[in-house]
Amino acid sequence: MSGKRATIYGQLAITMALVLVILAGVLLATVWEAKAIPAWARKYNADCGLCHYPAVPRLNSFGQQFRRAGFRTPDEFDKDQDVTKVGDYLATRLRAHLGYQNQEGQVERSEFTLNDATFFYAGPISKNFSAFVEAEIEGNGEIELIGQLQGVFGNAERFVSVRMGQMHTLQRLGVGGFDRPTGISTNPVHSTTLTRAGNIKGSQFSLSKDQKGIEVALVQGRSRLLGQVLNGLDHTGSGKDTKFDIDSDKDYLIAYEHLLDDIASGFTLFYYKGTQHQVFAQPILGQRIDFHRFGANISKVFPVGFGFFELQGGYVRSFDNVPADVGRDVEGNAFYVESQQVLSGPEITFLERYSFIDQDAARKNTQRQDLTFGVVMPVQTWLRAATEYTYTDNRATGNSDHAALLELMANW
Amino acid sequence: MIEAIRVRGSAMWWLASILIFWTVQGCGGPVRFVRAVEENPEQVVRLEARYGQGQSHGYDGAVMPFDHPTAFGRIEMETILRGLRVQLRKSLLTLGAAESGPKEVFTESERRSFAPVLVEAFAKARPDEWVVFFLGHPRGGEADHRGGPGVTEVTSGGFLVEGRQLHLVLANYRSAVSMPLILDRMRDDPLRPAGEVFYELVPGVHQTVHQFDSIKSTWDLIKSFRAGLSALTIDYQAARIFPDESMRTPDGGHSTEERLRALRRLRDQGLVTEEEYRLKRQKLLDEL
Repeated sequence: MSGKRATIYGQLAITMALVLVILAGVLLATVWEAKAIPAWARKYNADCGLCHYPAVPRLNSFGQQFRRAGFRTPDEFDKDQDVTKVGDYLATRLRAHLGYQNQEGQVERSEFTLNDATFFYAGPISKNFSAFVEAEIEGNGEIELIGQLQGVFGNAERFVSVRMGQMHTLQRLGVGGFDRPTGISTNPVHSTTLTRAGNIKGSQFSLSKDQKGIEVALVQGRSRLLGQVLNGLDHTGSGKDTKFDIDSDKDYLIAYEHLLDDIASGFTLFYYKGTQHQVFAQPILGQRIDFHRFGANISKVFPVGFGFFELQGGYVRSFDNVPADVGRDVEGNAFYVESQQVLSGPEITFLERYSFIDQDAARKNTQRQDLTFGVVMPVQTWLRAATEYTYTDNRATGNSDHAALLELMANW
Repeated sequence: MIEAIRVRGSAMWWLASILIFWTVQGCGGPVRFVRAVEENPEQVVRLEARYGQGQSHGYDGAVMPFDHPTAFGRIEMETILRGLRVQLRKSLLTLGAAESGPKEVFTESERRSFAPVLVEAFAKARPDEWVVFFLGHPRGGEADHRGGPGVTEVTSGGFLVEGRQLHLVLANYRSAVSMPLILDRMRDDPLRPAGEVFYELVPGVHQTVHQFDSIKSTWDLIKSFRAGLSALTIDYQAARIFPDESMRTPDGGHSTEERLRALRRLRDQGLVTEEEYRLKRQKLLDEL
């Protein structure tokens, strides 16, 4: 396919996606934001704005505190729960996509996909304990399971939380940019591997990998100090696929989070130390990569005349200690900056993001850059529409990529 | 790279177009002229003239003034407020929610503090002004707000009088809000629902319920309409004459005792003469 033709198709796909979003908004009648866990909206007689900003599923500061406390409001600490009200615990989510991709050197394609149908059972189940179960049936039929038990001990101002199970770790549960994204995609700095040494892959770890383990956290006011002990990744690069840990080595995460205001501003400082027994196709216990990730993330929301303006960014420094008989040590640098504008009234959110990942700082042409534009808007109280366009220039692989995605997300 | 620039340029153009479109739409809200009757963090009552597209809109969308100012008594207003009820609305998002019967919109303490202010507001209201209100209380008491953002329950809406009817639009019923900025927004415009409307008004005696579908020209009230706000019309003149629903006969009519009391009230208010009163009274007694 010629480059010119591909460009025309790319423009057509982007145009179609954006027009669909506009039509959805105007014709289907805009109301307000969709809901992430409608069970809690029912339970508390609340709109999604109680826990989410600027759009579902990203949380505001109250939502962060609610989640930290095992899905309790401050006045629900140390109170019995009525677990017979099943409607307060059950929720469903459906996400359908229309995607377009034009990757250099590959066949251009566009497709409709069912991203996932997800069932939640979540909430406090006793005075001190909570459960969270997320069964996500993906479009290819695979089932991803997240399940954990959480104990909360203390009062609303100061408490200790212990969480154990198969869980999201920092990404999707943190603050200052570590939460679920406002748009469709998670930023590449948190969702992709950050190191690569020539033909030898570094650790396959990324900050968005779900893992099995335990977390102990101390929450005081707006701050949370947490430590996690995790199985780590198996030789396939997954943190949850295997039935057993390959060895006794554990991964460790220490993080400190602080909420800066009542909207959604905050920052996170973190250090992760892990191991992975994977260099080639088979696990070789003697060839162990020790890797380290540390960095910070911050977001600040500013109320302005038209609504809200947000600046967000993060930096991650990576070190992989690769066995000498396999390769060499690798250092990586990665950062991203993101801006969001929320228009009050139509409650529409625009986002722009630039990310830079240098997978091997010691060598040239190992960078990957991504530029993303997105629009998110509510269509009905239970339905949101979002669209994103991303241009990727990956010098490590020598490829560039245009991708556009339209997503409809329903929650009830 | 040139392709990338072209595609990126196209995307930027579209995004800019949408931004301008929505910005213009967002700016098309009503022009409101506001006079405060009471303003405190937990209770706000204001007089508000709302203009959209250059015209002042009445309750039914017509360009006509309301019957303001209107004189209400404090006890009468408390009685009216006590008669307002809501129930859980059936919708996709309330599936599985526990069923419960109608609930009073206002608690007794709310009625006591709210009614005199409403009376004052109606006495001051001009023909083009709504009487809008916002009541916000911490859910779970002050303890809920310790250590960070807590939950505030908001009930808000607006009243107006047309002829012998008092209209209520209930935008929020005990809606849980956590973000101070959203709380400020609701306090600023009490007729704006915070989101999904989970409750609907239930008609009582002298009351009828219908959809609030007026004023469709602006963003915020398009939202109100789409969110399915219900409005209640109270025949307050009839309620003045026959206030006690417990005295209704089984077939829904008014008992002789109630009619005699109503007749006496009409005489006391000077609405019927002494002679008319005596004649009518005798006629009612003859029916026994």
